[in-house]
Amino acid sequence: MTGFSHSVVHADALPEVDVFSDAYATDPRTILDRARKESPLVRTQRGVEAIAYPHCQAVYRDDRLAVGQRELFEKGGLGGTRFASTFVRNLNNSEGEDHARLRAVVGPSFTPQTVERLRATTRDLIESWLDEAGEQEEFDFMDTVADRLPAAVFCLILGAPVEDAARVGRLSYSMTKMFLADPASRDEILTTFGELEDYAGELLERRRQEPADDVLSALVAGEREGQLTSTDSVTMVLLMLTGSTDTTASQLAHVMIALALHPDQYATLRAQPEPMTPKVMELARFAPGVWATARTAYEPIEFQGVAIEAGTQIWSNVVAANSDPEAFTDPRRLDLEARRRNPPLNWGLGVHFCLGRFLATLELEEVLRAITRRWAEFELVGEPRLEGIPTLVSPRGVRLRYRAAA
Amino acid sequence: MRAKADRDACIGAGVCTTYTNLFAIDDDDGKVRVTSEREIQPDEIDDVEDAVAMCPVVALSLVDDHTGGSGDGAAATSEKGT
Repeated sequence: MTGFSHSVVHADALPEVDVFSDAYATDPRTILDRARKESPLVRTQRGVEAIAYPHCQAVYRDDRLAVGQRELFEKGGLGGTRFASTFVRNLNNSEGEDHARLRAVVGPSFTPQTVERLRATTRDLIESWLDEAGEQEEFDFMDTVADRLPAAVFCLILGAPVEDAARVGRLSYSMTKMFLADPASRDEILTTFGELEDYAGELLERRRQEPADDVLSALVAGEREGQLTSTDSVTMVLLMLTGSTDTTASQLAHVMIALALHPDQYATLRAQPEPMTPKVMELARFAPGVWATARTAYEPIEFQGVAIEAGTQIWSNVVAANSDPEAFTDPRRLDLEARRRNPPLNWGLGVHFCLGRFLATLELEEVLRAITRRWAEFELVGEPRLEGIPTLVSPRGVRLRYRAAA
Repeated sequence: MRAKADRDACIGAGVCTTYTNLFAIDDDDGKVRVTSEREIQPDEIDDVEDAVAMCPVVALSLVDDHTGGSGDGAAATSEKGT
C-alpha cells in the first residue's frame, strides 16, 4: 500500500457515471467500457465505484473497508430498533476476529463437499416443478422455479422441514426489503423480523433437543462451545436467509435469459453439458444478477490513488469487472467453451466471499442439467422487466416457451 | 513447482478443492491443507494454477524450487496468449 503522495486525486475529481440513467439500465457495459478507458475508478450517485477488474478485487480485499449496513438501516427508518442492533452484529457486518469466529462455525456446512449432499434432492425438486410446467404451453420461470428453489434449498441446508419453504420464501421476500432502505417498508420488516426470530428460535430449540447433521446443529454446537450466543445463531439464520433467496433467484433468471437470447450457446450446452461448472461460471460472468456491491470507508483513506472521505461508500461494479477485457478475452461474448482464468466477481472475494457460493452454483447446475435433458430449444415470451437496477437486479415476468427434446 | 497454502489467510470456502485434489479442507479446523508435497506434474499444472487463481483470499501459491520464485493469484491473470 502506498502512502499519500502528490499523485493522489480527490474523489470529486473522478469522471462521473450516471448509474440511474435509462441508458445505463439498458446497456451498462457500453457505458462502463467507455468510462473504464478513462479511469478505473469513477464517481456515481452512490459514491466511488471501481469499474476495472483489479480495482474491484481491491475493494473486496481492503481490510479498511467494511460491509457496513448500519447506514442502510438508518436510511430505511430502522435505526435504533432492536432489529437493527441485532442484525448489525451478523457475520456479514462483522470484521476481524469476530468475523473469523462466526464464519468458522458455519463455514464447514457450506464447502463443496458438504453441499454436494443436497444435490439429489435439489434435482428432484426441479424435475417435479418442470413436470408441472410441462403441462402448459408457456410458463413463468420465476413462479415455477427461480423464486421457489432458493428457499427450499435454504430449508434443506439449514435443517428446517422442506415443507416450510413457501412460508420461508414469503418471509424472505419481506425481509430483503431491508436492502431497499425505504422507510415505507419499516413496519413490514419489523413484523417479519419478529416472526423470523420466533421461527429460527423454534428450529434451534428443536436441534438443541435432537441434533442432526445440518447448519442448525452446527449453530447449536457453536453455542455449546462458547463460540456463539443464542442471538448470534438467530441472526446467522436471518443472514443466511436474506443472503440466499433473492440473490439466487435473480442469478437463475439472468442465466436463463442469457441462454434464451443465445440459442447457439444453448445448443453448445446441450451438445456437451459436462463439465457443467465452468459453463455455469461463464453464464454468471456474462449475466450477473448482482450488478454491484458496496463497502464503506469509516476513516478517511487513500484507495488506489484516490483520497476517500470517511463515510464514503466504495462499490465494486460486478458488471464492469466481469466485462473487463484485461481479465476476460472478448468479454462481451457469451462463450461457453472459453477457458476463463479469473473468477467472475458475482460472489465477491476476500474474507466476506459468499458463504453460499456452492449452493448457488449447485442450483444453477441442476437447473441447466434438467432443461438440457428436456428442452431442445427455448425462447422468451415477451420481455422480462428488470427491478432493482443498478444493484441487485431481479427479472420479473420471465415467461418461457420450449420445444421438448425428442 | 510445489503448492503452498497460507492457512492463516484461508477462510475454508473450498473453491480450490473443486479444481484439484492437491488441496483439501481439513476436517479439524476447516482450513485448506496441501495433500502432497510432490512436484506438480505437467498434466495437472493447469488445474492447480486455476485453483490458485480462483482462491477468494489469495491463500495459495506455487513455489518454484529451482528459482525460489513464487507466483500467487493476487492480480488479475491476463487471458491473452493463453
